[in-house]
Amino acid sequence: MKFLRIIDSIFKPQVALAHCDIPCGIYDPHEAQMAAHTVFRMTAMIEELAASSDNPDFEERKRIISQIARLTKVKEDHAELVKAQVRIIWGDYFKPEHLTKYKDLHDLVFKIMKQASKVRQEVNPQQAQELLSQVQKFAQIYWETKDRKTVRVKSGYPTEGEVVLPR
Amino acid sequence: MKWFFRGKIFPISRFAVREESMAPVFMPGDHVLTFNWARVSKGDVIVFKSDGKKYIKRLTKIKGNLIAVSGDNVARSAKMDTIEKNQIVGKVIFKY
Repeated sequence: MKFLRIIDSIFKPQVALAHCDIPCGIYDPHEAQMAAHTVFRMTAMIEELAASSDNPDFEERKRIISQIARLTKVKEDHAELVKAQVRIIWGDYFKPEHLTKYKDLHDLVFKIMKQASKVRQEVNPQQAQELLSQVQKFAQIYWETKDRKTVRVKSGYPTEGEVVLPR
Repeated sequence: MKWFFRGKIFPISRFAVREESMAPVFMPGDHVLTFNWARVSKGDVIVFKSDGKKYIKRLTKIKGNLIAVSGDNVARSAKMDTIEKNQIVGKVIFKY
C-alpha cells in the first residue's frame, strides 16, 4: 500500500469525485419539508415531556432523560437533513436566471441554514415553525421555477401542518 | 477480443477520492485501484465518466445498457443517477 502511495506521489492518480454532480434533473423539496415537520414534532414532544412531581424518583428521571436524548437526536439529525436537502437543490438545480425572478432566494437559503442551526440549539416550537415556513416557501419557489402551480395540503402528520405540493 | 478487454487498453487505473458521498467506506483522500476489464454487477463500486469528469459510486441496478448508481452516504448523495455501460471506467477492487 505504501508502495502505491509512493507511486501516486510521483505519478498523480486521476480524481474520482464522490459527489452528486450529474445533472439528472431529479429534485424534490418534499424531503426537506418532511424533515422540517419532524423537527417541529420532536420539539413539541420534548416540550410536552413532564415529570409526575417536582422530585421524581430515579426510574422516572432515567426514563425522561432517555426520552429527551432520543427526541433530541432525531431533531438534530432532521435539522441537518433540512440543510442537506435545501443545499442540494440550491446548489445543483437553481440557475442564475431563477434569481432574476426570485431575488431573495439566496437570502431565503441563508435564513434556512441559520434557522436549522437555531432549532438545534433551542427547544422552541416557534423557531421550529419558522423553519417549516421557510422550507415551505423554498418548496413553493422551486415548483414555480418549473412552471407548476402549488397547493398547500394538510400533511396528515401529527404536526397538523401543511406541505407544499405541485398541482 | 475487444469484448474481453471491454474496449480498454489498460487493465488497472488509479484514482484519488474527493468528496464524501461514498463515506464511510471511501473517504476523501482515499486512493483506489480499478480493474477496467471486469464484468460489473449490482453492489459493485465503480468509477465512471460523465461530462469529462470521473465519479465513484455504487452500482444499484442494471437494466440493459442502463446502470443506476448512487452514493452510500445518503446525507450527501440523495439522488440516484443513471449512466450507460460505456461510461464505466472500471470496478473498484482495492483501497489504499
